[in-house]
Amino acid sequence: MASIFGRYAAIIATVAIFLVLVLGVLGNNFYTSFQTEATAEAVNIAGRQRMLSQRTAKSLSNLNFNFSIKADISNEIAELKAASSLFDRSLKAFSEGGETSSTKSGDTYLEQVISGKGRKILDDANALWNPLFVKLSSMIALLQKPSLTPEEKVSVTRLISENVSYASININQILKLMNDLTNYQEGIATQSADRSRLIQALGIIASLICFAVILFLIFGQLQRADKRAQLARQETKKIFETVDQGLFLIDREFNMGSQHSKELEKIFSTNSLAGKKLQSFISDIVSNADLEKVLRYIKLLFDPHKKQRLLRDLNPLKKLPIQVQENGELTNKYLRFSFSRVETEGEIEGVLTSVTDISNEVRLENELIEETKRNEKQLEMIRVLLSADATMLPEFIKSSDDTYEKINQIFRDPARGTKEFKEKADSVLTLIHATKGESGLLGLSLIAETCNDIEIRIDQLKHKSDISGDDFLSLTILLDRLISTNEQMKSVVSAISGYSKSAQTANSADTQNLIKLATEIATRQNKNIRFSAGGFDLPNLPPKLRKNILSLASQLLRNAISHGIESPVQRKENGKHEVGNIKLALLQEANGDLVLSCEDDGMGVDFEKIKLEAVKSGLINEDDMRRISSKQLLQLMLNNRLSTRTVADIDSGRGAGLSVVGSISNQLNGRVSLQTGQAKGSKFVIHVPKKNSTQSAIQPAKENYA
Amino acid sequence: MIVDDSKLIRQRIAREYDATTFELVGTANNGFDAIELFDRASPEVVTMDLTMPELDGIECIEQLIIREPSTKILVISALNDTSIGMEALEKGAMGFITKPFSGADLKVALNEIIDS
Repeated sequence: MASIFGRYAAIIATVAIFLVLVLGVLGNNFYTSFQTEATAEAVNIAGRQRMLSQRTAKSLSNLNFNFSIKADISNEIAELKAASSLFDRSLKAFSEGGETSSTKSGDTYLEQVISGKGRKILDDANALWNPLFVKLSSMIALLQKPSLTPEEKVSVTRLISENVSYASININQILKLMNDLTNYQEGIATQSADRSRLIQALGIIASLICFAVILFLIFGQLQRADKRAQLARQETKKIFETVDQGLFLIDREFNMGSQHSKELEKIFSTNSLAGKKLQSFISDIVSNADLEKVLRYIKLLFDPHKKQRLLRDLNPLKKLPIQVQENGELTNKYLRFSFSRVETEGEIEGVLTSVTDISNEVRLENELIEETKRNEKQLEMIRVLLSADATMLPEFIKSSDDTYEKINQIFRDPARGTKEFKEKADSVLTLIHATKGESGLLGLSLIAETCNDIEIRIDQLKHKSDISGDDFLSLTILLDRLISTNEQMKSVVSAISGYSKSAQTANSADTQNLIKLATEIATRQNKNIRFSAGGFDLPNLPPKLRKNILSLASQLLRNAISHGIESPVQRKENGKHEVGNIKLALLQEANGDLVLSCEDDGMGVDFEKIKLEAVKSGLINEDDMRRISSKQLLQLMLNNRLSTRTVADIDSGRGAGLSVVGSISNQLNGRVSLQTGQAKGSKFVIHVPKKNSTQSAIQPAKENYA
Repeated sequence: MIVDDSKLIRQRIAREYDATTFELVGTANNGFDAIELFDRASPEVVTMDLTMPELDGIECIEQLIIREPSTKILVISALNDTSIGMEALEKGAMGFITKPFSGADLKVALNEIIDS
């Protein structure tokens, strides 16, 4: 209130002055109208004095004549008395201020004349009149007596003649003075009228000036207010243009305010939002159920009895997934709507709504969850490390380190053209597949999954028509992850090495790991199997050889579950028990040679299918296909990547499985043989000569025939 | 007054009641007990669970508000379906917080409720 008064003080003061001036002019008019009346009366009375002086002279003369002829003089006396006494009364009123008979009716008050000129006229008039009036009065008094003494008669006669002679000398002078008095009074009247007009004119001019000032001030104020409003609008506009949130106001009826931020238009990819109903522009992105909830939520916000802070948990649009067309592609985004009351003097006037793109936050949140999962897996790995065979782990780390180094070397080797890059990719695939098998065997699922990721990427690469060095970048990242996992394992292993010297449990652990691997693969492949592993508790095998034997065993196991054993439904259809059997066995012959066998009762190896695949891969031509023997075909499978699976997964499908068997067996100078029958099952037997048991040096690869 | 069907939660809420601001008149583990206690002790502030056996929170809020419209009710619920929470507020509750809550959350909420 005080501030409003302050802002308009000038205007209010000017209006006050204006009113005072108007009142002043009106008052002056009022006063002047009385004044004018009084002055007019004075002018009339002054005029009457002229007439009275004449009437006095005339009645005196008539009286004198009638007296001389002894005629009746009563009328003349009355007239003389009336005229002279009224003249005297009025003259006194002018001279000293007082009442006299009005020219209209009754008495009127005359102001004493005080100005020099008027005073002079009156003084002169009094000087001439007063002696006459005294004598006239004595004369009249005597004449009115019923009878006169002789002295009195003499006296009357003398008085009459004296008065007549005095009057004849002075009455014209008195008349002239009364004329002057009339003129003087008229002058006063004119003056006062002039003054009044002047005051009026000045008052009107001052009022007009005041009025002009008021207009000026008001316009100034309006202009300033307009400017302020415009600045405020511009500011709001700027804020709305730059803020990186969608901002808008909604009223009780869910209408949007006239202004909203630019970002909002971007979010909803439309620029005609102002004044629309909230429902109409969010109905595309929220479900009907959510829309209903939003409206209810906003209604609650408009209820002053609800606590705004204690409503937040109910906000239905905290994390709203939407799909947006971006560069011609549909992308998933997340929006957060926040609502807050806009209150003016305790009244809820609207709800300010902000819309924020929280896709990045959600992505980070998800990454965090992923990261946590990875950490959990690493913990799981540590648990596996703690429970795993102490002699196996260092061996695995060492061999996988070698593998990673080899892969790194392959990445580093210069290559030109798609063909060379494809060869590189194949080499990496073989190496990584072996590591995948070993890590799976040991239950190191994080490593197995990363290896699988690499296989997937390479597979994608191989299907590209044009490969360059850049395509290997993502592989190096995955390889880095494997290497750092190895580093972590090394530190964990060295930390726990003191606790796990229990080499006695090593052999049974191998069997357990194989059982575990079999269970895992079977679960993943939805196969039912009965699995047995025997002979893996052989003591005194060199670690390197043990690792290779287990690698072979796990690859054969993988192969048997993925390719050999049919799905339970299929087995039933083929008249078999829905549970498939797999037998892994390791034997040491009398001469010290090792014999590893893997037998299953699955569908058997479909040589025809493999032949077709081999032709498709360009390994043999169609003539070879008709001539090739089973043994030769097996050799082809061991030395090349061939797969009959159309879809690759973590367990198989890229044809690397048997080639891993082939390459390890070559390293060990082993022999691989296969017995198989359509729908009857397969049996792989790998014969490893004794010298591997004593010699750990890697043998040069030789041609081996089954 | 604390209304919740879980003894553990009742104890948890009771622990956060600030003895200088609140005097705990009692606890109830279902809607019927709550109404009976309300009639006896006429508390100013009520914390209310929504899913309870026999008489649920929504109906209980309705009953309490009929009895005393100025009752300050804070809903404390683990419901993920916000529409039931909203219904509780539409029936007359003043605020809503989600379980699980921290001690600080509850204190802030109770002070907010009493400050009106």
